[in-house]
Amino acid sequence: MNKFLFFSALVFFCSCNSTPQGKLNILGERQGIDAKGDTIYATVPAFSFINQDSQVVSDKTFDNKLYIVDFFFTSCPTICPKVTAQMLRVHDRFKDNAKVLLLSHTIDVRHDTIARLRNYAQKIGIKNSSKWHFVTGDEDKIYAIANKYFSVAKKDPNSPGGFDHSGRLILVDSKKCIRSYCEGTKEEDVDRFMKDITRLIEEEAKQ
Amino acid sequence: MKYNRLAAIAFLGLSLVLLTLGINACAEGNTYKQGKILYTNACGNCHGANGEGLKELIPPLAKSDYFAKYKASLACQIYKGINGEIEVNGVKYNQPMVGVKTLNDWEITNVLNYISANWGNDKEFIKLEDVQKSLKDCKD
Repeated sequence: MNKFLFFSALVFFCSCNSTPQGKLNILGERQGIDAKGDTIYATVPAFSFINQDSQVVSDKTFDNKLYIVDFFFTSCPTICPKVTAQMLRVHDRFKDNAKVLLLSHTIDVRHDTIARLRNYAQKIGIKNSSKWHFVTGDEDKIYAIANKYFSVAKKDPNSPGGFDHSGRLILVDSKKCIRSYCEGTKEEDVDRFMKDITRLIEEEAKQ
Repeated sequence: MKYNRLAAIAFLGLSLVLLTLGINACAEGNTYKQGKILYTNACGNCHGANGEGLKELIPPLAKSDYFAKYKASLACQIYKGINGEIEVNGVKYNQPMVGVKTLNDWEITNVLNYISANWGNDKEFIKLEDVQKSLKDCKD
């Protein structure tokens, strides 16, 4: 009997600990059910910004791609360089996979001109803007879309540098659904997040 | 008898060496604990947990010729911040650094000594009075 209990406990323990396989959850509030009775999931709304090479970057840019999002500003005195360093890790890990793109939004559109964004990108070694877009645009639209990515981005005179923002990295799939996120200030959390990216790549390859 | 005495002396000598090594090792581990905490909170986000910096955007503090050159006068740079181009280990950096106004003179001393004692820097001790002098010149 004891042996049986021990064995069951062991099986239970192992099953809980093993890496979960299969599909990643789709995050965000459900938007109801369509005519066929399928659940409608929340998606990232249409957007249009300008990147470091003065090219328009919109939701269309990410059609049939999966992408990783963050919010920052170039003169950020707090968490941004740490988050950028983690984005760089993600970039380096998936740089040869054309399906994976990165999208960093400045939240300081007044100071972060296109030239400044380009300079920032180049200084961290990103010469190719078609893989990692650093975008600026309408301030309100950037703050509004941050909410859709489960992130905070707003002006706050009491915060260092004048802006309050979260340091999350967010993973969006080819259907514009959010599938995972992590704290971009925590390396171990980013490790877990990169496993999610790999899972999503595998999942989308099967479709 | 003679051998016993020799052995005793050798044993004593060896113990002394080991003890010194041990004390040094402990000192290494414990020194600048506060400096480390302050560094992590005030500097680490940009300069990295190991002073590695960030590519060509943020200069390294590890094995830094700039750090070695300026040492105590860095107190003023920490307090005031840095604007304009600087060259560190042969690379030009031009990312403004915001001044850290929240650290007092001995806290800055501890941060500087933490940096000096780690990551391949020259371990030269930075004195509180030099930091105070640098800050005084800086604020005047």
